[in-house]
Amino acid sequence: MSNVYSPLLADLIQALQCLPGVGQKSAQRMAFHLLDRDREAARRLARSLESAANQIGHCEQCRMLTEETVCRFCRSTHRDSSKICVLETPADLLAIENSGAYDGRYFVLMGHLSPIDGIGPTELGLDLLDARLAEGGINEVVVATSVTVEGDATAHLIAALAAKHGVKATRIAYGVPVGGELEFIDSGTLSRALLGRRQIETSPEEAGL
Amino acid sequence: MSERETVHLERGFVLHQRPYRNTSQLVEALTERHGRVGLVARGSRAKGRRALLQPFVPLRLSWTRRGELGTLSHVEADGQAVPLEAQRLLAAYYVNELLLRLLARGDPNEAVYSCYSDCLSSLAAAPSVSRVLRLFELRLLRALGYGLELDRELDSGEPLDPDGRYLYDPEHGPRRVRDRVAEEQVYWGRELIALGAERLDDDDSLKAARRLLGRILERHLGERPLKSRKVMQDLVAKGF
Repeated sequence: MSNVYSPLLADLIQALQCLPGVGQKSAQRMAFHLLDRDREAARRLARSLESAANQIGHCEQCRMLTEETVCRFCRSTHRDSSKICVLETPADLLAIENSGAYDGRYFVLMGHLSPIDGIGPTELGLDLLDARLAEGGINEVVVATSVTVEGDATAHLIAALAAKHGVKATRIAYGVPVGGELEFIDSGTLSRALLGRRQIETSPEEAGL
Repeated sequence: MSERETVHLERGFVLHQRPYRNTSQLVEALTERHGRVGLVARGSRAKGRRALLQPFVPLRLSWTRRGELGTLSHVEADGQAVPLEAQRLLAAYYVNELLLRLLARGDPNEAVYSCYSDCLSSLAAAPSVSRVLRLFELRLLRALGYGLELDRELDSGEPLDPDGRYLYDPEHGPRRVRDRVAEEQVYWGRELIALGAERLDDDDSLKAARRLLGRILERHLGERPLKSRKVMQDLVAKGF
């Protein structure tokens, strides 16, 4: 199909298909757009890909993607160094950061325990986390892995690691989402929400009674 | 163009899943009457079906399929998730990987399904994980038509002698040895009989079963080692 195109064009279309969710058709559309409509953007994209691929690595302390040796979250002096939040992906870090409810340090696993894919403690960088906990100064590990079978298994590993260093491990709460109506929530989520219920903190005066 | 297949509320388990496009999942499932199927679950990560589409949850699956991959149209729980923790969870992943490696898509085999669902419930409850795994391996091989000869001696056709010593020819079965052979290749008749009768109650017969089944499985798995086994070893080495 692509032999109707000249070699360079066919190459480009082929190369674009390395992106997740991009097949022949989308790749073609992208290639034509870049070449025909916006050549400057094409050059910018090429330069940016080149430097990103060459320069971006993982933060020495938290494994976040960055071109610096130590990322800005780890360098910042305004953050609480006694807490460390363990996450699966940089996208999760962004989500937690946007919640505005956390001001500690991070640790990005870049995945979760997945034995079938060969992803174990080494691939998740647990040696590095072990070393950070050994340094001391951390008194809470906030585990924010996904609430899936794999996420739970990963959380257990992190908790075991924290216990080894005598550090408290907590897991972010799960259950009914804000704005959720019980009727439409699956039974698994609801049963977890019931298990994790907490006392309502209020006094009669506050409630105006 | 191949025939369109529509399946309603078929019993099954997810063996493995991976994200596909922005919000979809590609699911490999083991089903009761359709064997292993590959299904695309559109929009499942955003729509909350993700809670259900996980390994070790008994499910009812509906799909339509034309060609290699099917499209999941409906999924519901068919019971509670099998409660598995730590070592048992890893063992269950090993079982899933074994199935993914040994089963092709679209090869219905109800015996495989029942030995898998039995294995999961035993994993949650039985005291010895390794006994559950060995019995699963034995039954899986049998269900796949690679059953082991554990009754009779190969040359004489006589029943195995509990106190006899045997070499096991993976293609054919046990052969009595009288001369000196390297000890690690020899099985006692009683160990083979115990395996054949699914009676793995002591350490010796468990170890022998592991050695024998490991060798047979290796032949069927080929060169590529099992990834879950590597991860298990890594975890043990790191003290988890």
